[in-house]
Amino acid sequence: MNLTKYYYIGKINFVNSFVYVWDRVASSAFVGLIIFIFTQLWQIIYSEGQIISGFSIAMMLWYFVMTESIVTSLPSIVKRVGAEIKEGQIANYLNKPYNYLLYQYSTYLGKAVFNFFLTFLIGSIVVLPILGGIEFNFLNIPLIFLAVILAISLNFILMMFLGMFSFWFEESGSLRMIYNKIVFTLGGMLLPLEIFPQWLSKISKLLPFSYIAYYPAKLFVNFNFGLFWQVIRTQIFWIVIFSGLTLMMYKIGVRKVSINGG
Amino acid sequence: MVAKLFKLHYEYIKVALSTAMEYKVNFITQVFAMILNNSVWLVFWWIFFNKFQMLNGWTMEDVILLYSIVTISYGLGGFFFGNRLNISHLIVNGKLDFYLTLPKNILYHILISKSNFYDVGDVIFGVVLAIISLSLSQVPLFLVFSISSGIIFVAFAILVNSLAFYMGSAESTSKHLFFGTLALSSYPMSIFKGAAKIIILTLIPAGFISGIPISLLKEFNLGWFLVTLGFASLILFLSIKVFHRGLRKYESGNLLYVRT
Amino acid sequence: MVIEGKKTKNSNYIIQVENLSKSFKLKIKEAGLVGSFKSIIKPKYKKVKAVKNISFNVKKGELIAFIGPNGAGKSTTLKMLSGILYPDSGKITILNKNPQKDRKTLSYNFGTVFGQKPQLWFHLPAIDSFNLFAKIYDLDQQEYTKRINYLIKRFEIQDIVKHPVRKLSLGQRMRCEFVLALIHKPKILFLDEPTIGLDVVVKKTIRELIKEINKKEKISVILTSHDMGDVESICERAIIINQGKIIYDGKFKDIKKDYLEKKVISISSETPIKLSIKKGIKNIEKRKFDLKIEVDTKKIAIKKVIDALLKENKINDILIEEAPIEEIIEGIFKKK
Repeated sequence: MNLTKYYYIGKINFVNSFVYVWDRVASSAFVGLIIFIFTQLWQIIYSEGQIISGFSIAMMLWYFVMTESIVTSLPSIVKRVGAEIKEGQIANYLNKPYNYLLYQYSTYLGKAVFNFFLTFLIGSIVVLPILGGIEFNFLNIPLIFLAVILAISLNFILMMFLGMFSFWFEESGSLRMIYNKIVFTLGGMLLPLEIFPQWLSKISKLLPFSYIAYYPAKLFVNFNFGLFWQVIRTQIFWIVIFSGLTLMMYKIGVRKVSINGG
Repeated sequence: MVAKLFKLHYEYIKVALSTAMEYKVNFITQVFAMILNNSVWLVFWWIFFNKFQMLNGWTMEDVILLYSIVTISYGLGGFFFGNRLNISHLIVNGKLDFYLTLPKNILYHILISKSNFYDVGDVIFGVVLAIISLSLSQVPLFLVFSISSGIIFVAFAILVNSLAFYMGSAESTSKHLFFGTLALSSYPMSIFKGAAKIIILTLIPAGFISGIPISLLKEFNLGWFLVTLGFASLILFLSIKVFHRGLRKYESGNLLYVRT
Repeated sequence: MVIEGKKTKNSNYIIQVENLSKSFKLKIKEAGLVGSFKSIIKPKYKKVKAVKNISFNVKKGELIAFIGPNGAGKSTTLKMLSGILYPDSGKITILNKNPQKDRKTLSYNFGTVFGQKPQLWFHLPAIDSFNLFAKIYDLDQQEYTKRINYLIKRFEIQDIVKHPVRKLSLGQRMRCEFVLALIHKPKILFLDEPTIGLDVVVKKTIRELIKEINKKEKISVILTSHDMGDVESICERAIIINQGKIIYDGKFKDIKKDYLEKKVISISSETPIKLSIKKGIKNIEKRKFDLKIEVDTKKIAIKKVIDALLKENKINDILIEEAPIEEIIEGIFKKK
């Protein structure tokens, strides 16, 4: 398997994104607006400069910048995969599921990384004037970036998994919507899990969604090695599980297509 | 003459209903998506107020009331004047010609020629919230604000979409400005201070859509009530003027792009 | 000159166009990033004169064709007549009114079919579009019912009116578009490329229907088309526009007589091409197995040429076309 070609696909998609940068700037500006609104929100709550559930206002806002940057960077593939299944283009990949998955992944990752940096940049521009900087150990950056990449990848495989339902169901759009909303809430995108009532926080930590938004952002504002290893381990765990499930569904779905002639 | 316009409007709404029934799955999916979206925000606020109880004097009940006004006024606009967000698309693609050959007022005809039936979902959602959080004495004022906020939403949509008469890539700009306003309307106005507060009471009229109406429902003030109604009238008047100015430019054929 | 409200000598003209002119400002943008910058900071415009000082009149019930190459100004003229575009100078009087000032009133009298811009709602059955238009034109319910039943029968769309338009073939759709344009008994019908993309049979049907409606209801028809078959079968009078100016306004059959007697034949053969006939033949393109010639049918009958070609070669493909409009125009200029 020649893996370097997928690296190049990823790179091309990353570079290509510069061409459409103005479209993305507009959507990222929109995210910037939401981040701004939240700065206003948290400034009221933190009027006495206190620490809430382990978060200072600086941590809270940078947390939010990080979760928004990750979650909004994710290109939507469920629709495209669903369409490819329905229109039969998937037939080209019938015998090469690894190739299909890798191809989608490298395309997706290239775009997602670009979007992430753009949104993070805009979010920083909104938040910095209010906070000054953040105490930060820059040596942790590669580690945090690894957690971000794994988070993006976990989201990818979850979306691919949802896309597989198109073999059986017409309308997979609603699945995608529900998924998005779960990530917004239980994934900790809007509020860190510490703010949740205990029982809800416990449930969320058991689910894979919190490893897309909450945990990478937590590492960003409050890094420690113990947490880092736990996060990486669990992200890989979920990725492996859902990769297996996806491949399995792919094989079953493809068999159904070959039997029924699409 | 006005009765004839209503008849036409009614006809378009009937058409929208039959289309919705024809594409049932699509319709249900969209209503479902709407309810889901709205519910996420309620879950967010529920978690938030569960932890913090108050936000600058605002409680969960206030936020529910705010949501109610926003969803109802947005939904009414989408149901009655469903084309308000497409005006820039029509301009850019030369589709105004269709309306220009027909004997009805251009702006009005454009607005009513599409009705988003699924926006009824938003209205119903808002009504349910209103039933939960309104006291009987607040109902008349609430109805007035549903209409004034609805007018502001539609007028603002007309204004930003009219940018397409003057610049390229107005389609996405107008969508971002409109939905930015919707987003700002969805948060308690009390969190905005200084320059931000001035902006939401002028350029991006989120303050008059939700903020001021909610505070007036909590504690009535005649002055601000009149200002709100005045603002709604003003922005409506302005949007009609700006659109017709731009229409004249369209009809003299000097847009940036060539119409086929 | 027409004075509003008073009957004068010229009141039998339904449309009067005097010295009509229209130019467009087109933005010039240089290529590349630098060009884009320049065009934002200091935009440069080029003035394009689309219509230059044209004048013509249309009587009630006349059938007129506008002919001309692309970009000649036909659509621009049509748009100014129908009130979509404002002229720079000149005067248009339709039914004693001005399309700019009295847009709404006049539009009750206009019907339009644009071949490339359908008016029927795509996802709805045609009947729904008809009902909507009835409301748009404020038609009396009883009158409308009578009218629509008549039109549906005459255009033979009984079986398809209840199907969503997107499911119809192009021919079926165009028939419905015509019905849509005629619901309100317009006095003037504007047709812009109405038969584009249609097959021969459907074209014939539509042309006959137009002629019939024109006769019965005295509707004036203004047609623009690149299809000479349309023009020939429907219109008596033709106005040729080239580069914004009218270069011919008269009977169509006179153009035909003087300018349209040329046909272009393209053939490809399995054997090397031979043609014994030389008279009236002009070679446009000649290769070993392909030939494109222009035949002057005043000098030699087309049948003779085709017979000779078929006899002397093993033809595997043949195409016969009319001389392109540009040639006709060139011919007109030359004669002038």
